[in-house]
Amino acid sequence: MTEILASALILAGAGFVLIAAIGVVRMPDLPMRMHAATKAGTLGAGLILLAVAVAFADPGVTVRALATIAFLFLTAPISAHVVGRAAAASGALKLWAGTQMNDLTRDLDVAASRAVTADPAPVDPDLAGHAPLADAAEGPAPRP
Amino acid sequence: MLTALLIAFAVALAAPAIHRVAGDRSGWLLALLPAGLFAFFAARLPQVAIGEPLVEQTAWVPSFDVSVSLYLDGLSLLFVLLITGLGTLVVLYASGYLAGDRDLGRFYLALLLFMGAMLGLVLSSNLIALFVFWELTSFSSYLLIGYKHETEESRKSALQALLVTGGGGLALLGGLILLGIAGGGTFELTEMSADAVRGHVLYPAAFALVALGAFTKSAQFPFHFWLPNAMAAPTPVSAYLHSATMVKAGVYLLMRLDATMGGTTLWTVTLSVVGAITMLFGAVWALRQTDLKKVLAYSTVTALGTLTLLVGLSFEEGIKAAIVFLLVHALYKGALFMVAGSIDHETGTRDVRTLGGLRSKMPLTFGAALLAGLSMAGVPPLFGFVGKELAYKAKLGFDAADIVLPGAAVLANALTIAAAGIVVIRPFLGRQRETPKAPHEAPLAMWLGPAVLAGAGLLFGLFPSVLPKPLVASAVTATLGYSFEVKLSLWYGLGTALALSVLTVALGALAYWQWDRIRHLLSRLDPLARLGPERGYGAALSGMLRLAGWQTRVLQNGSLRSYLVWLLLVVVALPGAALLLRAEPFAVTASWGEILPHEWVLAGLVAAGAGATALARSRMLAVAALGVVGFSMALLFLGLGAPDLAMTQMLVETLIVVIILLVLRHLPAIRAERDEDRRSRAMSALLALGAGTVMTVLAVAVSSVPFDPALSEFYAERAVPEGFGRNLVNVILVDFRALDTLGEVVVLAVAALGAHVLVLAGAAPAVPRVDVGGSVILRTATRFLITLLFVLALFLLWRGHNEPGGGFIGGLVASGAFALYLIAFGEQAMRRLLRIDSRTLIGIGLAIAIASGLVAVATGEAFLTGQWTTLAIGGEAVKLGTPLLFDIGVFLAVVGFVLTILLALEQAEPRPVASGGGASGSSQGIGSSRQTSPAQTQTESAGERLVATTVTGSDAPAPTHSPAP
Repeated sequence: MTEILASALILAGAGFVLIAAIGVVRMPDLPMRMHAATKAGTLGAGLILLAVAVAFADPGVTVRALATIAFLFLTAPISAHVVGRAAAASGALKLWAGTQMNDLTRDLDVAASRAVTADPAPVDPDLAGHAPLADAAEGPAPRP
Repeated sequence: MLTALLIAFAVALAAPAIHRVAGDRSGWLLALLPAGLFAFFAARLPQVAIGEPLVEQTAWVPSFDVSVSLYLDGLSLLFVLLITGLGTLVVLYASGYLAGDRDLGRFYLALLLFMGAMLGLVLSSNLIALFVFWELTSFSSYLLIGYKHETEESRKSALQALLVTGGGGLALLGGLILLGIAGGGTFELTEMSADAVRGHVLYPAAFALVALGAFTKSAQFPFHFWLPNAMAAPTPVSAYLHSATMVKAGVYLLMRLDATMGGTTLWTVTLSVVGAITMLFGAVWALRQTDLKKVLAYSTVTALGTLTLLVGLSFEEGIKAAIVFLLVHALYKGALFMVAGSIDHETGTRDVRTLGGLRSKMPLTFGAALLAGLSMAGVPPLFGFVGKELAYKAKLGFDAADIVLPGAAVLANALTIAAAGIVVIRPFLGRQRETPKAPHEAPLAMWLGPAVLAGAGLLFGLFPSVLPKPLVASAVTATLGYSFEVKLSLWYGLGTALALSVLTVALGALAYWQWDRIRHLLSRLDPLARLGPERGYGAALSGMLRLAGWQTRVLQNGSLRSYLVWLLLVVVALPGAALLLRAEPFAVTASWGEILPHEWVLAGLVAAGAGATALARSRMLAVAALGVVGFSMALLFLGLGAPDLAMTQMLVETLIVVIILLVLRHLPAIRAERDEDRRSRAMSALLALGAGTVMTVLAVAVSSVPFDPALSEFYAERAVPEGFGRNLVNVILVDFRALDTLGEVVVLAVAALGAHVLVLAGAAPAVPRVDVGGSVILRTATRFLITLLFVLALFLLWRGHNEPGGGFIGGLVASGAFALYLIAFGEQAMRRLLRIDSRTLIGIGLAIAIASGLVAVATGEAFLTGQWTTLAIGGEAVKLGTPLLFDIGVFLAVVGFVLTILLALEQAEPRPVASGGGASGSSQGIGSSRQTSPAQTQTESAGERLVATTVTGSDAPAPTHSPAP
């Protein structure tokens, strides 16, 4: 019985991880790719850990697996959040053409322009070729 | 005796404090030390005089046969009494001469330090201990010559004296070690057999090196030049070190070794030739000078040459003459230097040409000067006459010498008489002249010294067989190594020696009368003198600096990549060559079949990560790829049963990401390097492949050697019964090899401080940054997470002794928590959280680690031996011990290390990278590339932008900041 349950959990978890991987490859822009990787990935990894807890049926292992799941659920969304925020703040984030709303980039730009005079366009070789969203509006300012 | 020596050093160290408390009276107070030592040792004279040396032996480094063997025989006693007696007078003299000087306490410190070192030098019979004291005298001489360190001349002269005598000291060390080998493997001079030494094949080499040391110390030609330059020192120093004591150390060494090494042709010829040249050179050149102290300095060179010559003759009469002359010279030269200092002090000048008629203004000083000058001239009934007579008799009595030796001596002595006239007659007799200051008698402290010394010269001359004889006789006996009858008297009857004395005085008077003419004649030789040995010294020094500059430009050019190239070249070249040159090829025992499936996967990930790092087009990608390598390695370690290693690796990988992100702000975009020419990249690839190949072959070769389990079995057996821990790694780290760990933690501390200084050197004071991009979600989670992480860190620290964990790993986890806080809240908040400076944290960690080791010392065991106690906590027996305390120290030091580096990087303003001009110097320190163009300084990498915006707001230059709303 436990074997069947554990196997089912592992298969489900692996399926979610596969979906996450496909999402990372297929999705058109960074927030969406991250969305896939984080949500599906966390769920997949969590299910596999649950399978571990079921399969071993040992209180020590169960506690560790559950703690790992807890940490995973705590940290993965936050790191995704921070990466997304960083991408937006870098000014080099290119969103999918169908994006309806983007408040964050504008908020960050406002805050940044209040605090500092704008820097020249950052060139991120990773994202070379994408037009920088933020700097298109402001243009390069001379460095003091 | 050892106690006396230790007291001397202790008082020396306390001298500045005593001076602060006692003020102007400190000179009289401190003079009690040498005076007391003088009395202490003088009381030993009767025992030493009957040929019973005092011996005290204290083991120092027994495994290297090094002990502090103190040995007081006649020769040592003569020097000890000179050192302490003159020391008393010089301390008093200095209190008058430097009265009111703000650094007088420091001066006393160096002077008394020197005295202690010199005492140790003449009392040591262990060659290595002797060498240590020898170097200590050079070192304190450096401090004393450079006392007026605001003037460039002082600094240059001090450095010159240090380099010349220090270089000679290096030769001496080699010579003494060879001597120890030749003497039958002992460094105890008293245990050596002279015949074995003289017949040993190493004798010539040992002699040459020892002689080099002695010659540099005793300012023999061609190393004499440092001594006249050392006159930049305050006059008490010249009177003490550079006439009476330190410069005689070389002569002392030759005398001390005469019984062991002396008497060979090599010894006699070298010493007498060098001594004679030095003697004549000093005598002639003294007359070229017009500065009182320089005249005296060159006449000291003459005296040192005479002494070397007399010792070199290496027979009874020569040694006797040398001992007597040594005493004579110390008395009159010390007095004359003090007189010169008094003249300088009271009139404001030392130029003989501007001085005259001081006898009525400074009668007491004049009296002392006159007596000392007469002794220097060798006029009866002063002690100098006795010394000169004996020297003439010795030179006449030496078989191999015909007319040359006495002739040279007569010439040198005649010129010395002229020098004495210059020093005594010129300033004091004749009509009085205008001087910068209106002269008056020197204070008591300053005329007492010359008066006592000159008075001693008179008394010793009047009663030579009563006062100095016991001392001289026992010194001669000690030097020769066998008993020798010594008779001292003013009158040895009519003879050749007396005739020579008369001739000398006549010639000397003539030379003094014609001094101005002689000086002008000699001044024509000035261009020649500039080509002398001092020029060689200068050329050697500047050559060395050029070499250092060249090697710095080539090897340490500030480009991290070229450092890496050098490192890898060595890795490829040395082990590669060793592998190629192996006599027998190793048998490969490893087989492909041993590799497990998951190891294949991990190895593939490592290779892919490395390749991706090399080919990455942005630094961020490179960092991520490097992380793949690191984590894959960690998993491999885990699979091989090394959880501690794996945990450490993972934590280090995590922290490295944070550190690299902070560093990235200072680096140009990676494209800068991609643009370089193809050949350079090809070379890099070749080097990388070479290094990889060598390491692979090396690993295979090592694995082909049968594994010897002795060591791991040893630890496995002992860990629980002796270290009370089941985690072998941790027990080794904090118990079995705790000293190694302590060393490594010290390295961490030094590295952190070095990084701190390099990163922040020249950086503008950090302006508090304005945080615009902080995420509330991140901050909230961080507050929660760092609490958990700190608990985890403490848990790992606690359980480390029995299960994977320990101070290093716990410290890294805590550092990770702090790094997270830094990212979320910024530098200022982080500093507030930490409360104390991260560098203080390192210090506390080190202090705890060392203190835990000292517990064992307190109970009489070796440093860092684990001390355990069992406590009953909650009914359970818990073993507690100093290794756990040690681990806490390691924990704190690691946290301090990581935080110091993080904060330094965070605090440093990102600067434009090497734009071909001024600002490049400091920024190269953190490893920026040289091949960047100005355009690239404008580009920023993604990493820089990310950190700057999410962590702290902005990386824009400071002046543009304004407070956030």
